Amino acid sequence: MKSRSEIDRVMEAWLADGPTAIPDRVVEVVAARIGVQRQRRAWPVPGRIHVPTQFKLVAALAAAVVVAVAGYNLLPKQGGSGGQSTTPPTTAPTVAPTTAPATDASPIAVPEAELTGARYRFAPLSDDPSFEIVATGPQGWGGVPPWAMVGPNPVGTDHPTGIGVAFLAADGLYRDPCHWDVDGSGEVGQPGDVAVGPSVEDLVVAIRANKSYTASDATPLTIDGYKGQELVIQLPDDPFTTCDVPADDAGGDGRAFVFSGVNGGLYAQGPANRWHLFIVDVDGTRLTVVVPYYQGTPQAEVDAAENVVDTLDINP
Amino acid sequence: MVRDLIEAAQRGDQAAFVDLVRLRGGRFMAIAYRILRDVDRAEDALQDALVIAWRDLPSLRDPDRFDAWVHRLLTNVCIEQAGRERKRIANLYVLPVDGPAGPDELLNVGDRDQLDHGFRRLTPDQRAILVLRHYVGYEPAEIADVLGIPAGTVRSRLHHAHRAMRAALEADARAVVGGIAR
Repeated sequence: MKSRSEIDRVMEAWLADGPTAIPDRVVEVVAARIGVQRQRRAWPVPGRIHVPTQFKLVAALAAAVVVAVAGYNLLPKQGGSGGQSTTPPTTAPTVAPTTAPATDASPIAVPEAELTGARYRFAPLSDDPSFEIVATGPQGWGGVPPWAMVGPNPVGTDHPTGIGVAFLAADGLYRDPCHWDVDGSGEVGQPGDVAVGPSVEDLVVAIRANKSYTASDATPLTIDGYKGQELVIQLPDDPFTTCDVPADDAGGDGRAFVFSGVNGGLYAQGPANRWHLFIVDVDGTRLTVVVPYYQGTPQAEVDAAENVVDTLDINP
Repeated sequence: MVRDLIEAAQRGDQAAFVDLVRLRGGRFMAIAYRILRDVDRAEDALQDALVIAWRDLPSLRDPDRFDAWVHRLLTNVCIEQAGRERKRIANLYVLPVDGPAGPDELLNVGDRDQLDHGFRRLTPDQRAILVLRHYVGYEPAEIADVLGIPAGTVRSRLHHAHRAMRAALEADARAVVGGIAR
């Protein structure tokens, strides 16, 4: 009978036999295939995002009376030489609603393609979106149908300069975003382990009470006539490599989910991600607009994201 | 240099990715072959895994984890392919073993045949774990990380795989003894 160590040696000797070089033909095929294979942006694609194939449109879009949210320079760049600050602003400036000119162009469904500065229709990340959102897609950004847009390729929402705008019906939070896999299944979309009531105030209070990130004060907000609050949260400067991994994630990367949700919620896009949150009540449904960015995100892109929020049109 | 290539590829540089494939591809091919025991299927699996790697590379947050990340992608593709193959051929024939058979006093022809037979009877998961343990040299905790399964599961599958391979070798030994006795 062979001993355990002898079996190991035999196995290793047996496995040592065989090819150890990649044939040129394989390299050539891979080169050809990646020539037509577009890379995925690092925008969150939770495992169970359901993209409605029949997106219900509101029959007639009202004249776009939008609320311009002016003067909320809520995204200050932290100075100093000590690297990235993890301290968010302590206050959020007051929002001053104004009226923007209406547009005659009919909005189109946001494509999975480069945006052109036109008006696009979005649906919040939700099992059953009860309203649509029309927003201006900044020139050169990318669409993530039906619920988000990301900064220009190839950065998208990536650390350290990316940015995006996402619309979701956040219905819960995780106490520890890094360890969201509460039931051990790895399934994305588990209910958050922080009980959150139905109102805007409930969600804001729960966010501000969470110790896994820091949050600014919340200030009143009105978007397209819908009232709510805005605040900024600063996520840890952590690569999330030790965080829970979605079961169906081929890459095996950890994720830090802040929001839970029936369709997967939303996770940090990179280390030291900063989220500007706009939370409003749309006739009893809570809409959360997330602008994830970084200290290093160019101001022009931050301005573009602010303009997206400025020009939102919510159509229940 | 490798990190530079990875970062360039993450930004969409196809030439950098191809250079990366040339640099790292031999090791990946070796792993795929050893799980699948067939050059053609190993090449197919490797191509698929590398295209997935290209597609998802922007989501790789730590370039230093590139090799482990590709190992995971590749292993998953190989497991899937081996699973399909098991259903299709149902162990009806023995696949040819390609590549040089280096001299090794530890292995005789009978050992190799029995190891081949024993290995093909393993589940795809067990095959992958054996290769990651005895060829790549990963510890069980590292295999768990690569495959995204608990370390206890890795140890359990490794135990069963070892037992199966030991049984294969000992069956060979009994056959030889039996032959002498007859």
